[in-house]
Amino acid sequence: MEFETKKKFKAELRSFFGLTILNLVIGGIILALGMSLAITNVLGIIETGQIALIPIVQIGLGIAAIAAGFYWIIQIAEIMDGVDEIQTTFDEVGEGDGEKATSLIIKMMAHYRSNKTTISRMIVLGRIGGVLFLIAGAVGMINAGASIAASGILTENIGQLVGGLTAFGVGVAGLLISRYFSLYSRVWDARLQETAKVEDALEHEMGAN
Amino acid sequence: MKGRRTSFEIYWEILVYCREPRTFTNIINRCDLNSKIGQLHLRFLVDKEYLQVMKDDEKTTYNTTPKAQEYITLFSKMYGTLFDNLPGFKL
Repeated sequence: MEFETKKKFKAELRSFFGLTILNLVIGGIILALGMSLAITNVLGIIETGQIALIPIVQIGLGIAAIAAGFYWIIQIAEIMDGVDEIQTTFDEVGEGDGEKATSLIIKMMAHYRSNKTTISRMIVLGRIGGVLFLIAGAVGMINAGASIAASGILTENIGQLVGGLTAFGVGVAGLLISRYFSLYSRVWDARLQETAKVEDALEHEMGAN
Repeated sequence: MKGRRTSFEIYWEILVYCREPRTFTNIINRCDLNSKIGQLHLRFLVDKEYLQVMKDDEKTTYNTTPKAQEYITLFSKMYGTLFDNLPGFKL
């Protein structure tokens, strides 16, 4: 691999690895928020002994968030595993070790082909989740602001404000991750299309010989 | 790591690996192929004269021919150019 290509490959690998770690963190936060929402509402129902519609809806949302968080973490762990393996092998590639480097490009292409569907799903899920968390965060912050205006700064109001801010932050992160995956996916789709041209050239080469 | 490779990518891996004589088992293990697919690819490369079959006593080995070098070089060069465009973000 030429020095320039090697540099680009390294930069891209590092960015993608960073993106997968960020995703893992976001998956963990979604899981934690889901648990918090579900458990708080279950405890509320147990405490009051009354079953109202809103807590039931919130328990449902919490369970959905737990499931989405688990799914997210498992999927990203699989993607991360392959990238980590490529990164480890890349670190062992020395100068002038062109064929080992080409072999890594093949691995990376194969890894993308295998995970293309998951990455597309992440882009859609990231957008939907991002918007939902932004709305939930905004509602939480507005409610907290209204409570603070009405009854002053109380621990309960501060907790609500922090919850709203966290949800808003997760929403922004979800949208950003979706955007980054989308950029990554666009470049890789172009590369896959480019391989079709490469294959034509190779077929021509094989036919000529 | 298993992943979806194209036939051309597998050819390249086989040809590079067979620079030294290798047995069928060596090849399918190293290139992560099942024996049916391995047979098909090896037969194709032998037909193209990119691989030569050498029979020594009871052992059959495959060795890359000088003719395959053009394919290997062209493949490496073209795959290197795939990284000319980057996703445009850094983390």
